[in-house]
Amino acid sequence: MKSDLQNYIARPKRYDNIDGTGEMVVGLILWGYALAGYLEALLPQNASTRLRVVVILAALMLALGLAFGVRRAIKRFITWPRTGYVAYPRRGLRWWITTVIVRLVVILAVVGFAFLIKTHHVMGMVNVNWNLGPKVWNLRVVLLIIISVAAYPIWISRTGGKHRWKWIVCLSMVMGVGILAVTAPGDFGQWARPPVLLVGMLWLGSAAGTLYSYVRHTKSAAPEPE
Amino acid sequence: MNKQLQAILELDRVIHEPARLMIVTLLSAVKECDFLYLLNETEMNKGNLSGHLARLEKAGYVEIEKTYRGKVPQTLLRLTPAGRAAFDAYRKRTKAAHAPL
Repeated sequence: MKSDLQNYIARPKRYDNIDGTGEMVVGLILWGYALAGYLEALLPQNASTRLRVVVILAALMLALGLAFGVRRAIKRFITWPRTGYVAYPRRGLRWWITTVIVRLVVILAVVGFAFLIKTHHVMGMVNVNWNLGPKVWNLRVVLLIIISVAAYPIWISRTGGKHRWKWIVCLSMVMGVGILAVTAPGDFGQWARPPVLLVGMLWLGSAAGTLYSYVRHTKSAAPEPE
Repeated sequence: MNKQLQAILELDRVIHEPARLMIVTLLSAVKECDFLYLLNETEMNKGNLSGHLARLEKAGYVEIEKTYRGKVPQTLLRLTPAGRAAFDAYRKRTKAAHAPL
């Protein structure tokens, strides 16, 4: 069990999401991903791969820019004047090296697994005849949905678990994705977009609820005397 | 005198005071913060907090910078390298003081 001192050291980190901006960033990124998928679907069938990549990247960059811009505005005009300003220490070189290595390993593992499936070779032990073709790359969308839903309860517990209504949001995510998986028509690529939109919307809804609760329970402080 | 008692006697009295321990603990986890943040987190009143910060500044553990955020005055607070070292030493001594007999 953490000591009181360790709990106190953890408080500034929890403060970073006191206004729901962390959830807002996740929600906007998911919407950016869904937007990228819809824009790509609007492109003509014979559109080049380069154009598709540009469209996807543009949608993601737009979402990221909006996410960080809005976050900054909320911090500057709402959070800092109410409950104070905090700057966090920059992560050291060791953290960056570890993070990059871990991510490269995960990416290589996923690509390697997809390659194995596509070439029907599974250690020569099982002859897999899956005709998934390009749909194998849609596994990344499934992974994205699973990760973004699984991350939510972890997020709630790590940010103090103060807002019990968030467990209802969590349940809505799981049930919503499940219902869409069973009822949504269309092929795999088309199916993946509504759940990403739904999960993104619920993350954004959670962010709005957190921000509302924060604004309701705090008041703008008087400026410090000079 | 046994090691545990020795460790307790050697605890830094500037940091060991509960209110200042709270302040130093919070500052150790951030690069810098402002007076308003500490006021909210510690739930002290302004006079009390200012007094403890002055004591920590006098000991060389905290750096206080008065600046502006736009047109609004702001007091920024940071733990100095000496403050971080003192806090680390305090944590080690506390751990030694709680070591099993």
